[in-house]
Amino acid sequence: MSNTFTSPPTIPDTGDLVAGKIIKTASFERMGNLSNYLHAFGGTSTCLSQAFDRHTCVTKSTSFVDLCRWRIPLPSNNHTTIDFHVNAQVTSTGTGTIKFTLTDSNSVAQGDSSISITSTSMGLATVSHSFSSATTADYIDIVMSGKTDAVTYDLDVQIVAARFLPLSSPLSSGATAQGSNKITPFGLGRLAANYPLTSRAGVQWRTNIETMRSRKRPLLSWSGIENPSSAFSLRGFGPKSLGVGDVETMQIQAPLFLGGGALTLWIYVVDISGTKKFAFMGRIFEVSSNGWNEFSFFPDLTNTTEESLSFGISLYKIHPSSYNQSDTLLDNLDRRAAFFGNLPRITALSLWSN
Amino acid sequence: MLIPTSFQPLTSQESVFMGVTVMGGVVSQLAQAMVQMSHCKFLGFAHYTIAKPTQSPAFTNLFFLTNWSGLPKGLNKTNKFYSFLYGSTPLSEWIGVIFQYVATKESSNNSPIITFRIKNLSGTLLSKSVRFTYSSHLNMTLEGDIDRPYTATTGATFYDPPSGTSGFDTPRPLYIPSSNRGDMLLLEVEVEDCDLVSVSFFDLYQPEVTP
Repeated sequence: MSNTFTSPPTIPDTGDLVAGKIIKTASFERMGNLSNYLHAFGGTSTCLSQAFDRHTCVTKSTSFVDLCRWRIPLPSNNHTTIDFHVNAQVTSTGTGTIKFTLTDSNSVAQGDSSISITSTSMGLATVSHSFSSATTADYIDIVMSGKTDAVTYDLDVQIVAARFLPLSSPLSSGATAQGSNKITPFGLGRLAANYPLTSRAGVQWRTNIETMRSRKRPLLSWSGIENPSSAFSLRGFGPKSLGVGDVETMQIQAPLFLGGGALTLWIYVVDISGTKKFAFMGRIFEVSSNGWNEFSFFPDLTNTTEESLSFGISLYKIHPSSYNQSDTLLDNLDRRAAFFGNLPRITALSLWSN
Repeated sequence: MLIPTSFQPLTSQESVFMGVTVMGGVVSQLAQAMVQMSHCKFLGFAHYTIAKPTQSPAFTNLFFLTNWSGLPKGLNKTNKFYSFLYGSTPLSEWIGVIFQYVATKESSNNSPIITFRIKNLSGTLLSKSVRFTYSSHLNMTLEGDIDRPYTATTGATFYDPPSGTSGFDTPRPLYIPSSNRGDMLLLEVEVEDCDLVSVSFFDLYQPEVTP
């Protein structure tokens, strides 16, 4: 009766589910199994991933300073443990600390977790963070801050990655939710032999599918380095904001699905004055507010990439577009917005799809 | 069975109400919609844009360059290592890679090499490495030309799982042994005589699977 699932999941043979075939309970049991697996594992691959060349994401501050921020979709209300992984070092013997602070989209503080870095060569470190309270939020804001114990050396971060931990089998009993959308786990015993096939099972499968189709996939999570500092000359000059050069190099190729609906674009803007513009995937958006700005748009699904042929699935370029008018939010070749500080600029960007 | 890649329209809600005859097609649509998510939508994916220094060491503090716009050529004369992390799923088996890199023919002995290794978080190599070399798999810009990123991929041909961990294979998707599927994995990339700009890792889509 429990809401179990196998991992990897067993899948039903759709050839057994057509007119004229005898109804096999094994097929229904597998469908329940798969539904439970999808809720547990769906959206638990890497949700945050960013890399920095050495000496770019650095701080020598002895009190915490914000370095990066990301906005990440939550898989469901049950996925409340997230593992952070970093590849980092301190540049000479000492201690650096990386802190991740989380706030959900309902403005509920979900605590913070820190990683202590003492290695003087690049090494992996991990911290597992559990939300401090239950959530019904759609997404989470993550701020990474850093500090050292002395100003004579740097904390140097090369890689940051995170994933929500999948749920364990069996799932908790009773209906649950993804934001405000319902998910009902299946008791596999009820789908086994000698039990009636209820209409309720069909309704719940359909509802679960609709809910999990809307579960977001983060395709791009990018942040500038907000407050770098270094004990050494010519270090700490990584990108603080999105610039014209990023149009050419920030070109993710990701699958998008027919029927997948609109993409969700978030940009974090500072020092805005008046209305400025920003282009993404060939569309121009107007911005007039500081902080996170949300846009929704339908992608052009005719423009697959050349590599789609190699990989047997339609891949699309996810990228900022060139917009070089005087009211652009992209930083120019002189990096004036980043280094002179008071010009409107984009310091973080996230893109999600269904 | 075939794995759909699109969100096909679901059966109407009334078709699963009480009193309605159970139709094979209705149940089949529900099953296909779930398999699309497990074997397509929710496959593993990670993308890394690599933040570069935006100030050229050749200039003083007033000249700042964009993330990538004509940075000095011939970066990385010594080997450079990146340790990317990848959240695999229980269904992950082959990982495809698409990456952007720059390489400039500064001297006759420039010979770009990019090597991919797949490891667990303890650093143990899990399967045979994959190596891209010049000129078989990588390009170089002529000196004096403006650097522009090239794109290269592992392709998606499904091979027999590689045996052993020593040596290198020519470009093919990276292989995850069954005991490590679902783990957070370390994808180490060694870059020589060129520079990495961005890299995407993703589970290969398999158009057909056996139930």
